[in-house]
Amino acid sequence: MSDAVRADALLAEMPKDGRGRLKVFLGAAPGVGKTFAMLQAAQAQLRQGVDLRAGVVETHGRAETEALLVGVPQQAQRSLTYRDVGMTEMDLDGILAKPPKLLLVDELAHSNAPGSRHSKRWQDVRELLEAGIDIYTTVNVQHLESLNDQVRAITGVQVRETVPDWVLQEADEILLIDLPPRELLERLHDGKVYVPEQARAAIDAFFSQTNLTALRELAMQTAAARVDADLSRRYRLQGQQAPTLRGRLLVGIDASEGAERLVRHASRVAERRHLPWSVVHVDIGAERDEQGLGYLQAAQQLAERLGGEVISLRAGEVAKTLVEHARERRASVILVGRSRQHLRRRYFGRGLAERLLALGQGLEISVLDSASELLPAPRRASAPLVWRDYGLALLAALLATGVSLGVSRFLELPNISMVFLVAVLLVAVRSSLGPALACAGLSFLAYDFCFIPPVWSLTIERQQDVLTLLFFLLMAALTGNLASRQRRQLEALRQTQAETTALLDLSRKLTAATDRQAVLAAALQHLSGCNELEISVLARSDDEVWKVEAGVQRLLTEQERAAADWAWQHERAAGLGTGTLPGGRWWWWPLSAQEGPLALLGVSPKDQRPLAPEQRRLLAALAQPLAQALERAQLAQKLEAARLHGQTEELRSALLASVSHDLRTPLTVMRGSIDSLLTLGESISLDDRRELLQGTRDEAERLDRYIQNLLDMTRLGHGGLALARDWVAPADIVASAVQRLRPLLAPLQVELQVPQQLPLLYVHGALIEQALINVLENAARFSPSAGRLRISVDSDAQELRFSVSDQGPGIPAHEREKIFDMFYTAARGDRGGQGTGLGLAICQGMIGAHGGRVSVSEGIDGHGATLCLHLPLHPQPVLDDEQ
Amino acid sequence: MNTRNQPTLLVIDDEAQIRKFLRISLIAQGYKVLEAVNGSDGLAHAALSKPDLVVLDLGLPDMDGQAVLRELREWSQVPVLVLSVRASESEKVLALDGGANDYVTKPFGIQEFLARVRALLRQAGGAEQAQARISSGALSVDFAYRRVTLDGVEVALTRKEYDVLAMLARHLGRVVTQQQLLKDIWGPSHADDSHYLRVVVGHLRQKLNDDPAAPRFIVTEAGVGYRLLEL
Repeated sequence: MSDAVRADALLAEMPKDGRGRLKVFLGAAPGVGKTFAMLQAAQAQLRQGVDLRAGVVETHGRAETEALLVGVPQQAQRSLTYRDVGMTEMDLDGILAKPPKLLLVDELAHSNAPGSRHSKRWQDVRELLEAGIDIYTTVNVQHLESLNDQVRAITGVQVRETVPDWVLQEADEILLIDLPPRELLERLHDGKVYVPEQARAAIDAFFSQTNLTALRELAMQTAAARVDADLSRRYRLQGQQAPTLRGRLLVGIDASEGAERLVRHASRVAERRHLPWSVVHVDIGAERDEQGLGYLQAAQQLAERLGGEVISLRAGEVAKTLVEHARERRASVILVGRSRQHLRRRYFGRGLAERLLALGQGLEISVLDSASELLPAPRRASAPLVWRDYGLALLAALLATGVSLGVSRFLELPNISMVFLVAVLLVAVRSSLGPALACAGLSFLAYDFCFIPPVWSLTIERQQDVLTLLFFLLMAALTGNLASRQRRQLEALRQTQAETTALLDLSRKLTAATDRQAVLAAALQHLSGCNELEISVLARSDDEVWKVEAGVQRLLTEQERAAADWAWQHERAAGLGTGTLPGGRWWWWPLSAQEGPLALLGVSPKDQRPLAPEQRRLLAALAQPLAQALERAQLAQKLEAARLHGQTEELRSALLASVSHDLRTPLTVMRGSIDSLLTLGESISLDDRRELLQGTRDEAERLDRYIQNLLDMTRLGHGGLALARDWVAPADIVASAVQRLRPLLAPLQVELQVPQQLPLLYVHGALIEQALINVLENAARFSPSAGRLRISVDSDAQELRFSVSDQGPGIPAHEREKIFDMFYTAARGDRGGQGTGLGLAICQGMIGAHGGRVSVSEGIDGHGATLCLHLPLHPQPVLDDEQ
Repeated sequence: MNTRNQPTLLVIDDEAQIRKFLRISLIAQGYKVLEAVNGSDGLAHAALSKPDLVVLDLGLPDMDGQAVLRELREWSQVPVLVLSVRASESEKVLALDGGANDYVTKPFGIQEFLARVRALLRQAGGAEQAQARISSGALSVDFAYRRVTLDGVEVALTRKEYDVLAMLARHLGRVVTQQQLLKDIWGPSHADDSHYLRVVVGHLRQKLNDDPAAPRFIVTEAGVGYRLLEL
């Protein structure tokens, strides 16, 4: 035995992730004393000081039971009204609001009143268990889903309230409450068993000695099967070989009435033999009517409830596909039904079971005979379609006869049969096997009637003609069969291919989508192909507010919202067509990743009918890549945020370093000058004093510019730079910048080349001015003393350019890109001269924000550098004639 | 109102250093100076002492400078000079529209500040309203004849050009917001058509032979409006 298997068993033994423990008090029939036993056990727990509460307990007014309720704290019931009838149900939310350690829940199979969160009480119990509450509950054996048929067979009573078997399998403890039938009957006669008055007749029939004995045996078997399962689990825990080899049970179902019964049987067999099981339906592309579809869906839903796996396959042939699938899944048993409806198959081909036996060497093939009491299946509902096909068959036979008569003069007798064969083949390809055979039959008659001597009679003269006719019939049947099967396979393939293409298409779109919005848009575009469905994708924020992220915006009703909440919390489907809060118009499917739900897919059929399992399966298949794509998008977003954060931190520290350096320089000059004036004022010459003061003022102005740059940088850095655009004359911008920099520019020869006729700019004036100031300051800093500095403005139809040229050292071509990087100067250290290095980066940021760019070229007479600010021009405003 | 010879100025600013250098400079220019450290204090002083001019910092500890301005304007027409930071043109425009008469941007030079003070005190005297003619250096505007001369030579202006220049001249030395100009000259529906103004001012500068980079007459106050220099 491998360690993995043992580890699995150990894991299963452990309390599942904070889940509560479930103890089931199982009885054979009402009145055996389940509630009584449960309350006794509760009293024992109460004495040990366990915090327990009774969620719901039905005493049916029996004194001895009521006595046991004394001292048990009770959860108040929730009252609700449905169609003016007042009802009470277990208050699920009340219990969850203040959860006890142990809760008593009587009658597990109870169906909740409409308007409750779940339609069944066992669903309530599942939620309570998930919330970590231990549960004591009671159930009678006839309520177990898989025993439903057997119970009906035994008692003749159809039990409507059922509990899926896995609830029992999940139970940590099962207690069989046994009472010999004779004693139970005595109790019944003494009136100690609660029986509703209106059902007395039925109940009396139910409580017969034979029924009770059979039910008792059923209950014991069930408990024993559980004990068996427990035992083999313990074997595995101890690392010993389990008595049975694991395999898998495959049950093949078709769209017939017996499918449900087959599923129930399979579930029971699987339970008894401790096998995982799958329900396989092979779709051979045959037409199916509403009713057949209904049977199939019901059987598949039942299988889901019973804990089986539901698989749909598309292929041309059932037996081969089943066997192949069985081998793939290492299944050991295939179970199929034998139905009396397939008379045709009986006589024209081997039955499914026979073919399985022939193909499935090494597999165990079980066949369940159809239930004898079942009525013959009603006629197919799709009659018009079938009649049309048979009409086609008739037409084809007639045409073939006509053509044959036409060509009979040129062709020999045996060759004429070819014309009829063509007709049969055509019908087989166009419709299905039945019409093809009909066409073969008709052709056979027509051939005989018109061509086999004696002509114009059905009698046959020569013996060899009988043989010819028989061969013809055989050929027609065979080719018809072949062609129709071929066609079915083709159609099945086509549909599978369409679905695969759809999935591939979606995954390709999803791969291309990089962020959440794009993923959702792609998914929505894909799903919008279904016209009869409304699609919506929701997400819930931490404060529990729903937001429609994509798709249909529709106000949700209270119940739809509750279903969405539930689906989100429990990461399971809820709403329309499910057992949980089915009242609304929406079916919710959570798109979950490992960390929890990422979004909720909402589907609302326009006809408001629940989705077919086929549709659900398709949607769920699409949901998986969708959830993965969403997770990927989220991850990418987080990574990007982390990267940005890192970059910002890097920038911040570089900025702090350079700012502290650059702000201190002017301050040092100012403080030094002023100190000199204060202490040495008298001894300094008047001119020197003036110079010191002027220096202080210039430095103060420089400080002001740095601070302005810092402010601008924060404005740019937050990305929230709102441009307050207005019409501005370029000359005003130049003038304002030059004036603000007058002290800095004073030692230079400034040449202004600003034409008088310039178009107006539609910009945020202050920002462009600051950009120009930064360029000018940069030029002034690198200019030799008394060097020339040229400021020129020119424009063409598209853009307006501010150019600043100096005679400084210039910028080597390979550095021209870098000078706009933040802190480029700062990175070069003090050699870079004054300045934070922010200036040009900010300049580029501001020009960029206006849709312009900054370029670098050579300066005056091949020396120095020219920086040019390019700004796009907007259509000039129209002026009134008046001006 | 105090005597014409020694106008009283109220400085409302919470920064002691700024109050100090303003006080020293203003007293040196022969003004009387009152100081207030916050808005409510300032309003009380303004009510009691009836200053000839209020210097108001927009960033005050107790209340917003704009609020002080609003309250003051409810009962007084005293000229107000606002101290503002550069980054916020909208603040300046808001203050000017809210009744402030002019502004200086921090940090400012004392020359500039004193020029504003002089211009505002002259307005308070109601001097140019009555004047039929205003001159600034070589430029002179004759309101009675709607005539503009430069160095004694008449300059031919269109109606709009004349209107703009005349309005600036009536506020000689003080800023006029572009909204004021547009509303008064083009009408309220054109308050946002700043391009009219840009074009007209451009033409005016050409005709007055004025260089925007070294203005002799019309100064552009970026984002706010225009000012006719007082020479």
